[in-house]
Amino acid sequence: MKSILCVENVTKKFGGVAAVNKCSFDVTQGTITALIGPNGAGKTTLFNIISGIQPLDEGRMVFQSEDITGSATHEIARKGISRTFQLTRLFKNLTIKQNLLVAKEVSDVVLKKMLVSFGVKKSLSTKCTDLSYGQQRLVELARALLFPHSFLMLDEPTAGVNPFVREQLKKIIRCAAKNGTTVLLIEHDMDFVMSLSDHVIVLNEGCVLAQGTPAVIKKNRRVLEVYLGK
Amino acid sequence: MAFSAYLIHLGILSCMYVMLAISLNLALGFTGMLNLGHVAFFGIGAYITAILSMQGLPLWLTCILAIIGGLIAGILLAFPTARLRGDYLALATLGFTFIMAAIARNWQSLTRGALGIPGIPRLVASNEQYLFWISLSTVIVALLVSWLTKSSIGRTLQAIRDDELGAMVLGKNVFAYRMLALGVSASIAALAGFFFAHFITFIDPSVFSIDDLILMFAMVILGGLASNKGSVIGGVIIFLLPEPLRFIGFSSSIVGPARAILFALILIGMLVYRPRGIFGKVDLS
Ligand SMILES: Nc1ncnc2c1ncn2[C@@H]1O[C@H](COP(=O)(O)OP(=O)(O)OP(=O)(O)O)[C@@H](O)[C@H]1O
Ligand SMILES: [Mg+2]
Repeated sequence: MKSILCVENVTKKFGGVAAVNKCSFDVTQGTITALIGPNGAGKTTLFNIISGIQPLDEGRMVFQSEDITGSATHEIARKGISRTFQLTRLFKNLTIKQNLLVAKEVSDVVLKKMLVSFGVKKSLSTKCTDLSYGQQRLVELARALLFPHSFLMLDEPTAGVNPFVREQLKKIIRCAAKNGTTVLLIEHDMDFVMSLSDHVIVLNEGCVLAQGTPAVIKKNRRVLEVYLGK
Repeated sequence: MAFSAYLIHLGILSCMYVMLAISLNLALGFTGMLNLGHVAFFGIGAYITAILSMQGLPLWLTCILAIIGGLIAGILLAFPTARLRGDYLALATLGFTFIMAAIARNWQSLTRGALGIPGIPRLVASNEQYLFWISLSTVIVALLVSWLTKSSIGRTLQAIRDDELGAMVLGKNVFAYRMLALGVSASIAALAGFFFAHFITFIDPSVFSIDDLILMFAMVILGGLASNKGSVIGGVIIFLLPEPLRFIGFSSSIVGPARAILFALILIGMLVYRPRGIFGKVDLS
C-alpha cells in the first residue's frame, strides 16, 4: 500500500502553546482516512499546515514523494490537493456558477448535473449569499471536487447539514474514493466516520493518540477515555 | 469661450475622468484593493508625457511610454504592498502618492519642481479632433476592461476580492493576479495623464492632488463597485455636477468649497440610501 501523504514530526506553536506537537502519520493512496479528536485537538491547524496556509515550526510533509514543506498554498493546491473549510469560504458576491468556475472551466450542463446530484435545487445564477448554510456547504464541496485533484481534505463536511444531506455526502465521498481520490476528513459525527472510513487517526492535544481501522479505534480504551467520554 | 467650445471641453475632461474611474474600479471594485495611489499613476503618465514630448519625442511614442511607465509603476507598487490589505494598503498607497508628489516637486532638473512644465505641445490642432481621439481611447479602454472583467481572469480577481484563501486553495496565485490588476489599472490611469498633459499643455505637482483622488473615489462609489457601466455613469455625473455652479455667478472662492460640500453630501447620501452605488452589485466588508 502506497502512501500519498507523509506528515513527519510536524509541530506548530501559537505563542508557545503547541497546537500540533510532533505529529506523524501517513495517508494511504485511495483510502478514506478520518482525522478525529476533541475540540481544539489541532485538526484544523493540521489541515492548514498541509495546505500551506500556516507555516509549520518543525517537521516536513511529503506529497506524492515530493517535499511540499514551505511551498505556497496555490502551489500545493496545484499539485492536486483540494480542500474545504470548517467555516465555508464561498466567494460571497459571486453566483453559484462563478464560484464553481473558479475551480475549473466546465460547461453549464456539467455544473447543473453536479448541483442536482448534490441535491441543491437552485439555479446556477443564484448568488451564494442567498443559499442556506447547508446548501453553501454543498456548493463548497462541489467546488473542491471540481478542482483537479488527487487528494481531498474535508473539514467537518457534515456540520450543520440535515440527515438526508449527510447520506448524500457519504455517497459523494465514497464515489470520489472509488474514482481514485484519496480522502482525508475531519469529522465529529462518529457514525459517519465509522461507517465511511478505512482508517482513523485520533488526535489529542496536537499528538496522534491512536490510529487504525474503525473497529480497532472503537475498542481503544484511551480513545474512549479522551474522546468518546466513556 | 463659446458654448459649443465649452461643451467640447467638458466632453474631453469627462472622457478623461471616465478612464480614471474605470481603471480605479478594476483595482478597487473588482479586485478589492483599497488603492490610494491611483492619482499617482495619473501624475506619472502626465509627467512622462510632458518631459518626453518636450524632448521632441513623437506623440505615439510618448503615449506608449506613458502607458508602459504606468504599468511598471503599478507592478512596482505591487511588490512592497504584497502583504498589505485594507487600511494598511490604503495607507501605503497614499504614501506612494505623497512620494511621487515630492519627487515632482523636488527633482527640479527633471520636473522643474513647483514651476511646472509649460508649453507641452498639443496633441492635435483642434479640440474637436481632440475629443474624437480621447473618446476613441475611452471606448477602447472601456471595451478592454469590460472584456477583462468578464473573462476567467476577471472572475478570479473577484474571487480574490471576496476570499483570498478560498482562491489560493483553488491554485490561484493571488500575488500575480493583484499585480496584474494594479498594472493594468495603473497603465490606464497613465494614459489619462497623457491626454491631460497634452490638453492642458501645462502640468505641475498638483497633478498628484488628493482632491482629484477623492473625485475618482466618489465616481466609483456613486457608479457602483465592480460595475464598468457604473464607472462611466459615475465619472460623467460627478465631473459634470459642479459645472452649473460656474453659471450661478458665485466667486471662485465659493465654487471650490461648494464643490467639496456637494461631493460630501452625495457620498453621505449614497452611503445611507444606496451603499452599493447606482449599478453596484457587490459589498466590500
Ligand atoms: N491562529 C491561531 N492563533 C492562536 N491559536 C490558535 C490559532 N488557530 C488555532 N489555535 C489554537 O490551536 C488549538 C487547535 O485548534 P484547531 O482549530 O486546530 O482545533 P480543532 O481540532 O480543529 O478543533 P475543532 O474540532 O473545535 O474544530 C486550539 O487550542 C486553538 O485555540
Ligand atoms: Mg477544527
